[in-house]
Amino acid sequence: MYIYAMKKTNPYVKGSLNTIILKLLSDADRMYGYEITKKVKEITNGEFQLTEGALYPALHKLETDGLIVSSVVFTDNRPRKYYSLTKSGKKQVSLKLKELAGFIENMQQLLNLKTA
Amino acid sequence: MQLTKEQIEQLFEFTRKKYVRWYDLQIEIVDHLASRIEEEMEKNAGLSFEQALEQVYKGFGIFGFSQIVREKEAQLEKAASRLWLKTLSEYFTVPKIAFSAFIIALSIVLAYQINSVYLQVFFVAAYITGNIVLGRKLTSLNKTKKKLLMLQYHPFFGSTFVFLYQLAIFSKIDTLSPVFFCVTSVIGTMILIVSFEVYYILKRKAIDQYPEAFEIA
Repeated sequence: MYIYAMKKTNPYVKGSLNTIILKLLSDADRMYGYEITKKVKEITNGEFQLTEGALYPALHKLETDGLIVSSVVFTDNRPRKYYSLTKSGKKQVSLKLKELAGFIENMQQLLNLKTA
Repeated sequence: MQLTKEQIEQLFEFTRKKYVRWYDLQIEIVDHLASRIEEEMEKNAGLSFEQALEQVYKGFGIFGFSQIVREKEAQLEKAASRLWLKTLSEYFTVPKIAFSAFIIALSIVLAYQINSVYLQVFFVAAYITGNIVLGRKLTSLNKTKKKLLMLQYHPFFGSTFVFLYQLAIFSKIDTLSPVFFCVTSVIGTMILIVSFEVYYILKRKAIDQYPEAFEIA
């Protein structure tokens, strides 16, 4: 059925979406929405796909929380909204990365129980 | 491959048809659609603009753009109330308190010391006119050439509340206790000042970010 065939963001990716966005923005100076989707797809060889319905709400929430700011730039034929990290966003990046790394480590230990 | 200006305009029209009324959200969605369409048309030279749009729009799922709009609304509402609280916390500075004290003192003097009915009527009329002018200023925010979602959560209610309250007080000035009058004046003035500050902060931010939305149609 069509509903079940709908494109969905992987729930693990969705759970770490904030960290992924902050990390990508800390590497690039500024990025726009579609660029982030493309970059994630590129780095993971198409394994991780961000849907628009997951990406934009995440961006907007980070903006409300003051971690990123947006600015509109006119390109050749259309306006484009760029996001970049704020001061507090920059501070959060390493913290969030550490958090996620710790989570992954614990997950690996949980899933490799047979050594215990 | 780059889309033409007319095709971009068609995309803006498309988002409007799909109930994205707000320019600040349209920008982002149009840019996303355009990037995807350009990519699809490069991959498949036989694809027309309309076909590509249909294909790309399907990728948004059965709910289309509505989820993005809904969640953005929730975020902006949150941001507006945070801004209100932050501005309120910054109210307690010497210049603002002094200004409020001046306004309150003035209204007390006018309300209690002036015995002339004409002067009181004049004062109430001036107060009402002032409120109408300020109210129109606030509602004019919604009449930008392109509608901005970020301006939909301005604190107009604050001014309306104060207006109604003080009107009630003025009409019964002789029977109200001075303490009640003073307390409501202090709170009312505070709400008014904070409301207008929030309004100016939001407007400055909007003009800064979307100057083209304010061009006269």
